[in-house]
Amino acid sequence: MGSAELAIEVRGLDKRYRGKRGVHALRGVDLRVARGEIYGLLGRNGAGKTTLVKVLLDIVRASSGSAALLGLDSHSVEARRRVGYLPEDHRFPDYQTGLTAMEFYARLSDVSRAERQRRIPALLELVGLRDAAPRKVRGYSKGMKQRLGLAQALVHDPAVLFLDEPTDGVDPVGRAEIRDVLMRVRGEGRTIFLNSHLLSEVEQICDRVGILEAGRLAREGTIEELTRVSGAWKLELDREADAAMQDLLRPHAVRVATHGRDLHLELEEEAALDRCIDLLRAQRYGLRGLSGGRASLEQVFLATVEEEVRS
Amino acid sequence: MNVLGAILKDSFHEARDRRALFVLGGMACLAIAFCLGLSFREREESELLAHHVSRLGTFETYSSGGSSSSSVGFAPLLEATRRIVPEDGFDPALTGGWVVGFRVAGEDELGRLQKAWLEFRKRKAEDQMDPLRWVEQQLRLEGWQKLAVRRDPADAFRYEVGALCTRKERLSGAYSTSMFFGLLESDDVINRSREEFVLTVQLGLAGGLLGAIGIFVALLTSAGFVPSLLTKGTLDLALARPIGRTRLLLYKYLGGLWFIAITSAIVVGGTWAALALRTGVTDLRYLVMAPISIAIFAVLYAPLVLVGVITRSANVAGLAGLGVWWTSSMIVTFYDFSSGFAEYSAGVRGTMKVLYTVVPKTSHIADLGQRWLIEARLGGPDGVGRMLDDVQQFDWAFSLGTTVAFTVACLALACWRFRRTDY
Repeated sequence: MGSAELAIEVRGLDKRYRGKRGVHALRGVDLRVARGEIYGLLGRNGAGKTTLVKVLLDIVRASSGSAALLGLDSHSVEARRRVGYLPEDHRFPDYQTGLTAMEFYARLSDVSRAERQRRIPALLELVGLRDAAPRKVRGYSKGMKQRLGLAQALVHDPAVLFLDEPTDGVDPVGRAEIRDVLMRVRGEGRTIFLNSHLLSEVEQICDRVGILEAGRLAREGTIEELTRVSGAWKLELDREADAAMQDLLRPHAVRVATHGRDLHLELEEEAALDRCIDLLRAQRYGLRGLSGGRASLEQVFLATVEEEVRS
Repeated sequence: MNVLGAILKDSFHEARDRRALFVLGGMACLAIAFCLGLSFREREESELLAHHVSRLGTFETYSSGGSSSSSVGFAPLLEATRRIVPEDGFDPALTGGWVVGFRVAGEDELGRLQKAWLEFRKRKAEDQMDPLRWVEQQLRLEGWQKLAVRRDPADAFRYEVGALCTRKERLSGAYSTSMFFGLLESDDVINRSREEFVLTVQLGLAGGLLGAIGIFVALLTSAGFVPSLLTKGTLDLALARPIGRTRLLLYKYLGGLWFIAITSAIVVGGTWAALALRTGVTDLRYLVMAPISIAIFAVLYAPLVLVGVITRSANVAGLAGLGVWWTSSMIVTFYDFSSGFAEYSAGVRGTMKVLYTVVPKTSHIADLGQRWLIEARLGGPDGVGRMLDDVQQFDWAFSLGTTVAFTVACLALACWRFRRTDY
């Protein structure tokens, strides 16, 4: 992928905060996100996710390394012109209404009056705040504030959207609403960089995921790549497999284990699965469910974090 | 312009939300109501002559910083005023004028009065003159051009003053004033004309309302502007926009000035209109007080912005702004009145000289504006002599230069700090 096709390109990014604690937030991060891609960055609290986004937006200065947005130096004003940002724990001034906030941030982004008149009502409609727009933001719920945050991030029609914990603190209904908006935004071909520790959200939305741990990008890949675990299967039976049954299966499997009516098999090849099912059927075991070949994103995340901590 | 317009408008919304508009707007309304409640009446010449004689023991000075007065307890027994007739024996040039007789408590009462006046004016004892000439001089200062003072040859305690007014507008106290829609009568004898009366009120409004109370309230109400921008969660929303940090901070500074500019324009414009309505004096030069007060605020708002950037606290920033204002005013006042601490050691003089050079001289900006207004409104040096009696002459270029340098330095430091901080 050439630089011109990249929405985000980070090379050897390092950030050590000054001060007594001297936190080393980023340690040589390399990352590339293609245009139009939805990239999810996972990490524990304090892993460096927000610092990475802030460095990309020039809110925090990197100690070393470089970053480019849409081929432009991330320090440049021109780069920020094409980027939208929903910060974590963002706070609109209390005196602003939904409408004046949108107007204010649109004008800060140098959006023309005609464009503002066109885009602001449409965005407020998109995030479901059209009726609440004349009200002061101080009276908004957390979910409404998050949706307004999303709308302000989109007000200047950015090509890249940085969302830092967009559903944090929002109830399940609000989360679903925000996810809906994101899916619609995704359809418009924007690049989205999503910081989150809500794994299910990332799993549902993102094309590619990176796991940041202690300032290092520990793993990266598509959901498919990250969760693929060859040979691990779980069979749900109508009753617990007894010891005799397990003995029958052992010649065909690397590992056999039961957990209640769940039978866990680790197989060297997929053909062995058919042989195991035949043996179970022959012993009159009923098969009620079959899953396997994949770990959940949560398992991958926890394993990665554990590995990093160990190393 | 789009970005600047957004920040100016946002500052206005913020001021409205902080009740700052309510406080300053209320102040403006009170000032306008005060002006609307003023009225004045033309005094009779004879009444004025008696009034001036009765007030010989009240000494007043007026300067752009305000007026000061002292009274030494002089209570002459005044007789009724009457027209001068040829039989009175006064100079025929005074024919048609007025005469008033008065008795004093002691033989050398007028000499005592003159000594007290010399002390009040910080004049030398050698300046003492014949008491009758001194009374004459005092009454000339009140605007009487043709007059004569004489002692009654038959009564050592009795005197007579004969005076003729050539142009009543030049007599001080030619108009008696009342305030609060006639509720309070003023014993003001300073004003010699409508013009001067209006100017006195305008200078009072500029010095007292705009220059003191206004600046105090403005600093407190605008103290939160920069810290609110730097609030965690709010700043990120702004910094992610395509606008440089220096520009963002300077626009925010202008936002504070904008809000004060609107308020100043309302106070000055409103009081000008109210006074014009009540007195018919429509001289537009008073409006210069609006930019003068904005300039003073612009100077004092700069350190407030710097401290706001460093501490992100509205309270600390507000206190810092007030601290700079009061401290600098004290240093400048003491320095000016002690002639550069001339009587102190070289070390103290040097230290105070450095401090005097560094601190902003907002009182000089106020004096400059008021001096210009007095000179412009009352004509040449003769006309303004009394009103500018105690206004010191400063090295205006030095005062303005060092004040601008202080403001620029504060803003430059604030921008530098804002640019290099991770948020």
